[in-house]
Amino acid sequence: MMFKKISVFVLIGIITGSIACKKADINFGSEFINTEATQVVKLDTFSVDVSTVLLDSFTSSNKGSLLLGGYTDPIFGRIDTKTFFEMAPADYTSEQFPVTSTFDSLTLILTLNQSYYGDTSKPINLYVHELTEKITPSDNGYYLFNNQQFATGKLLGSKTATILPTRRPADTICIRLSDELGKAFLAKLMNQSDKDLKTSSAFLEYFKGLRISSDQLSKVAFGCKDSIAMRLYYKSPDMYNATKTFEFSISNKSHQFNHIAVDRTGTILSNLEKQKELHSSVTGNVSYSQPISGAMIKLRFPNARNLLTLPQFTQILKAQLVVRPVKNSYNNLYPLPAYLRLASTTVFNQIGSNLIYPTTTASPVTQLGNLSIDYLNGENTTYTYDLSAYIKELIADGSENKNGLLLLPPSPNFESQFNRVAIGNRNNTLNKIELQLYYVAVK
Amino acid sequence: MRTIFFIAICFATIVTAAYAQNNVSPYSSIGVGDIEKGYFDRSSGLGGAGLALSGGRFLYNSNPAAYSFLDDRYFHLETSARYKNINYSGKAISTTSNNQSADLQIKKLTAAIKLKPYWGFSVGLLPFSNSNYSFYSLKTVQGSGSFVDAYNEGTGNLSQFYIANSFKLRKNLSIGLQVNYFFGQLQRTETLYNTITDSGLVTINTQTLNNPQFKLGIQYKPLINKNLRLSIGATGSLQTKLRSTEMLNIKYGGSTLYNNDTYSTGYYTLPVMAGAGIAAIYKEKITITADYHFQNWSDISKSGLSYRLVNSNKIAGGIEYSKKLEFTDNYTNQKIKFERIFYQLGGFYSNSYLQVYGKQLTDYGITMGIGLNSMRNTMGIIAGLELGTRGTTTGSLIKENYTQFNVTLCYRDIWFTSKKRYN
Repeated sequence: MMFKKISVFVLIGIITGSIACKKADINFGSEFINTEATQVVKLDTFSVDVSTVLLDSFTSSNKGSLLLGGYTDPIFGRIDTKTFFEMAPADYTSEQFPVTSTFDSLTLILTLNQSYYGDTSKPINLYVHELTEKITPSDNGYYLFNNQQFATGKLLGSKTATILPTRRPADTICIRLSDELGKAFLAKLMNQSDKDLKTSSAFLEYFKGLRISSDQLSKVAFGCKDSIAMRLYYKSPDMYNATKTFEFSISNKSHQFNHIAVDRTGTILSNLEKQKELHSSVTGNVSYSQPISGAMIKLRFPNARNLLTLPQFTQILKAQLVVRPVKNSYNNLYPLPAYLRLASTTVFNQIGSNLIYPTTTASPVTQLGNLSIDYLNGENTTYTYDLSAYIKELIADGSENKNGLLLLPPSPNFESQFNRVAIGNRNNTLNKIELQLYYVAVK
Repeated sequence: MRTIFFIAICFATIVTAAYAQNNVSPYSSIGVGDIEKGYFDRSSGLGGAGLALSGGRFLYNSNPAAYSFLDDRYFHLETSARYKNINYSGKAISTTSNNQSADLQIKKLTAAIKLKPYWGFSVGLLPFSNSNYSFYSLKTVQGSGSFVDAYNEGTGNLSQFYIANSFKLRKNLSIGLQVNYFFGQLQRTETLYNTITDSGLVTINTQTLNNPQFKLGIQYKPLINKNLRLSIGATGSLQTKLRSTEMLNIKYGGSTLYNNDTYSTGYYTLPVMAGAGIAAIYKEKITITADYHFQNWSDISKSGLSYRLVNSNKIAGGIEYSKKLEFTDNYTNQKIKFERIFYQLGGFYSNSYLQVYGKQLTDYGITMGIGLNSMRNTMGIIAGLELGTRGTTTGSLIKENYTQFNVTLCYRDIWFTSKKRYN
């Protein structure tokens, strides 16, 4: 009987023991015994083909920014900008303009958007011309490009200004326009039967738009908000005899565009226009990107499929691209783009879809490079990208993908900002581009 | 009825034990795991020293020559369970709140029959080694100075099914031959994870081992004088190659990256193992015994990143006091001694077969045991307590302080009889 009891105790003990199981946490924090079958291997000697390619033209309309001025870039050459836009009068009633009204002045008011590139200490000459040709989108009726221009007539006004782009609140530039035009506007406003200023479409027939340009002396290119205003000052006799205003503004933003002219003569990129592509090996192991002036960087991975021949290669775990801007190619005067994306492209260097972060969520997030600036000695300034998915695709694709990826700022930055970058290729000793591959090798 | 009940317990313990493998030891990730140092028999309370011991009622599994000294015409059945609690210390133990593990396992099932007065036969299932671990460590990324985090997990064991025949050559001399069939599976899982891998990279290596091994034993127990019996015993086995098949399965992000059922086939070699023991038995009451074991692992020269297999040796010894009652058989008028209870105290010190970071791991401890035989039926019970320490806290190694409690149930019954004993 006693043994039956003991046996029962043993049974209970066993069951309790199995329920009350405990496990300890052990963390060696260093290498201990690991399986040798699976190895994670890092490879950073993989080739990346880097070249500068020509961006033929790009949409420069409706980018929310009026580009003015120009500057001479030691790498990209002389860049000059002009901006074209249409104006529309505000709504008005005849009571606003009694026949006794007298003209005071007509002024164009620009508000800086705080983006600029170049030397702001030098004054800049600005010229305002009246368009004699209507702004008409070229191809499908939607877009205007950086290489388009429209004919101009007489000079309406000019100004030599020193801009303070970083001032807050934003600095403004006022350019006095011709009195003749102002008086004509006022006359039409006072004449109740004149329909030219009643609607914007009627106004466009009468006044086709404006162009603001500068000259070769300018040392800075800068941007203005597209809330540009043309203000008519007038007086109408009443108790106070106060000055009154009437405003014209940009009504159709899709007809506001910037013309950008580039002269690369004498620069390292002088053959870009002709050859369309300059390999980094012929431009000092460096490639250059400033899409607004037509230069973009193209990256290709010609040997991606060679990965398959690596010993014990089984699977890519991660591919990280490290892009290193060349030391001394950027400074306060020529800052780096804050964001650089990678976009798929074609043989014709068209800008395709952006490389996104590997994520399972529905909304894709574009990879913008996480710029990290090495202020101390400039050797570790980097943009980094996760190319895992892209490289996996390249390997999976049987045929070799020769199109590669374009490295450029996101839109609208690349069409409206001058920030530029020069990056080293594989043979650049100091600022080498690197594709860091981590893969699984099974022994 | 008793038999059925006993078998039911055995079955229940086996089933339960299958779910109760929780004691982890990172050291058991090496080789074939932790090699069991005892046999969960009557010698457990004597520090495991049983090479020179034999008995009529209990099985001594360490020396196959012992079976021929069992009582005639009896059938023996023993099963053991072990409860073990481990307390870990060392730099690698990250929290003080979770530095313990405990589990309970069925350890053996053995049977023996005395077929003839000179011939003992035994079959059984014994543990040889077990591997059960889980720990975090780092793994080098080849071609860089960086690491990935690794979580290592392992389970499995190597068991031995044995058949032993033991013959008495003289009254006090016995030899035994044991055929062990080793079999088992060790599964090692490594999970790599960090920023490089968006999901875990899991490598599962399943090693299946099997092959027979032969073990020889001898025992000689001369009577020195009326009160004192001396006993010496020795066992030995040759180098044995266990056939090993490794399956490798690698998963990444839920999908199989690599699968090979015969990733590696070869041999895992067990070394020459030998042991010798001596015992002095005074008036069949007090037994003093000592054993020495040696395993020649360094010949196998298996090593890894941080470990090496080295020769292991072990000394063990103990003292036992046995209280016997005397009866007179009603039929034959012969005096019969009946062992009612025994007490044991022992100790052991061993240098294990593992050398990790240049340090050979030691294992030492003390043991206590108590055994009871039922007066009313044919069952016996042995309970043992072992307090031990393994490893060291030097370097980044781990020291395990363990407490284990063994219970062995023994059942025996008449197997066959030449004359009718009961009416």
